[in-house]
Amino acid sequence: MSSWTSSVASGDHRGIKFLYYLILALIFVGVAFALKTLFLPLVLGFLLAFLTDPLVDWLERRHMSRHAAALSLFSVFFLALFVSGYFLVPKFVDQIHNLIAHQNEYLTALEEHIDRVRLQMQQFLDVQTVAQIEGLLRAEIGTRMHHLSDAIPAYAAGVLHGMSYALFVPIIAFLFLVQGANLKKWVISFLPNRYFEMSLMMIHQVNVQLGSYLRGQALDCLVNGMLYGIGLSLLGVKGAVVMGCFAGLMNAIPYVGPVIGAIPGMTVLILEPGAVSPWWSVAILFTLIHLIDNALIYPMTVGKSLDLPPFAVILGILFGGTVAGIPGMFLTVPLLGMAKQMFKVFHSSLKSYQII
Amino acid sequence: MQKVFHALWSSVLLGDSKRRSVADLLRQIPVFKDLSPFELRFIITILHQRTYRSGELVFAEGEAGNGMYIIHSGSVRITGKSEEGEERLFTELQERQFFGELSLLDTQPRSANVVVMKPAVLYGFFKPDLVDLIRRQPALGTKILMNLATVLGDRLRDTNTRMMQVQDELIRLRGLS
Repeated sequence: MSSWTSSVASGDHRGIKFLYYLILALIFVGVAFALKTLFLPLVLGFLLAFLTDPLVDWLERRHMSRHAAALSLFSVFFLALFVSGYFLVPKFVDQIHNLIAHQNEYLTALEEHIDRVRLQMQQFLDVQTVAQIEGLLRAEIGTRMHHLSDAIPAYAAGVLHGMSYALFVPIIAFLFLVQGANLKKWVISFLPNRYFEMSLMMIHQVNVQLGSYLRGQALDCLVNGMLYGIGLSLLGVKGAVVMGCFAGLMNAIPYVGPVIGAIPGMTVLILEPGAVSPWWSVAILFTLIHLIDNALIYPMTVGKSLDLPPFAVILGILFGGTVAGIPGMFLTVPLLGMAKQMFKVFHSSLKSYQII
Repeated sequence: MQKVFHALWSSVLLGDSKRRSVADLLRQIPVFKDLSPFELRFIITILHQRTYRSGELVFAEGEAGNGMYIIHSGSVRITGKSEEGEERLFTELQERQFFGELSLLDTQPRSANVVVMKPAVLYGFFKPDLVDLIRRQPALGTKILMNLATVLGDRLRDTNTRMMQVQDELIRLRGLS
């Protein structure tokens, strides 16, 4: 009798089980590889589903089916996207044309500013060092401005690519919202009886904690974005609302986020001739709002839902930024939090189910 | 073409008959009594069907408990350890009976071992799904909670009656000696 038939006859199915799980793992890896390009929209859709889940639940409590609730929510979203796209895309195209047409004027403004900085630097640095710094600065700006006209279409293409995400991400979020429970049930159905109850609890706890973190973080970004927007308007920065939104979004990246968020506002004040406020007022504004956020807003919205060690967060942000740029920086903290929660819940579940 | 149509129709019918069979099972479980067909259909979507071999452990005493199981087919035996550490048989349950419902409400570990005697198909109803149900469908969630409270109340009343009987028996035996 072959080892295969003997193992079946003796009721020892370990070989078959191993083969079964190996095939499942291979299928999973294959599917993951095939969906590589969809990874980011999938993660973003998953996060959006987490954020909008309470709204869909709320509609469901008001006797709406889950499908209808999710459909209504995303219909409103697409309508808003369509209306804003209808008004914003022509303006966006105009601004790009405007930027290309006026690049020489911006270059002149920059030259004048470099002259002013040189005069200020000469007060406390020797002439040779100032000349070296100026040379480096001019070379860098020259290269960047030379590529500006080539780079803008590429940026525009990037923005359009981002807009295609705006179409796919809500669709994926809709599918997660409507079919998420079935998907979870389906995945759990493959687990052995001994571990399925434990896995169910683990998924539930990770869901609850990650959901509360993401919703808290979204609220924190919203409040901060509004504060930044109002503050920048008071300082007379052009495009304060857009910059406030950007700074609010960047606020989701711990430590470096507020710094990145402040850069556009400061740059506008530096480059704009006759600006109402000095560039450093933006730095003071961001520091103040960041302090308010740390002391009041963040503890009320996010609290200690993830409580990651700062060292892990910084390393994670560096890693995320290197792998996927700013989206990578955004996703690192929730993904790290999810990994931490999963490990914590996994460990305590294994203990409570007397497995370890 | 006819074969394809037949296979397709059978699959649709089988899916439907399976759902009906689970709905019939749930109607006989006090936790799900007086639910409308629509509510039963919703409950079916959140139940977890598990298949067990003979001798397989469903859960062990001392483990974290998170939900109840309904026996669709097969049978299980519920055992626990006595104060002397001996394995003691509490009861045997057959199809259309259920166990573990207390863990839907409390956070205590499982108080007994459950081992499958005859190959069984069990339906699990778990705390996260109940919490989710209360959040999404408060009326249905409340119905189930009330049913659950009734089941536990009945169990408490039974236990009290049995305790009274044991006490009476003890008094009678003391009187005899």
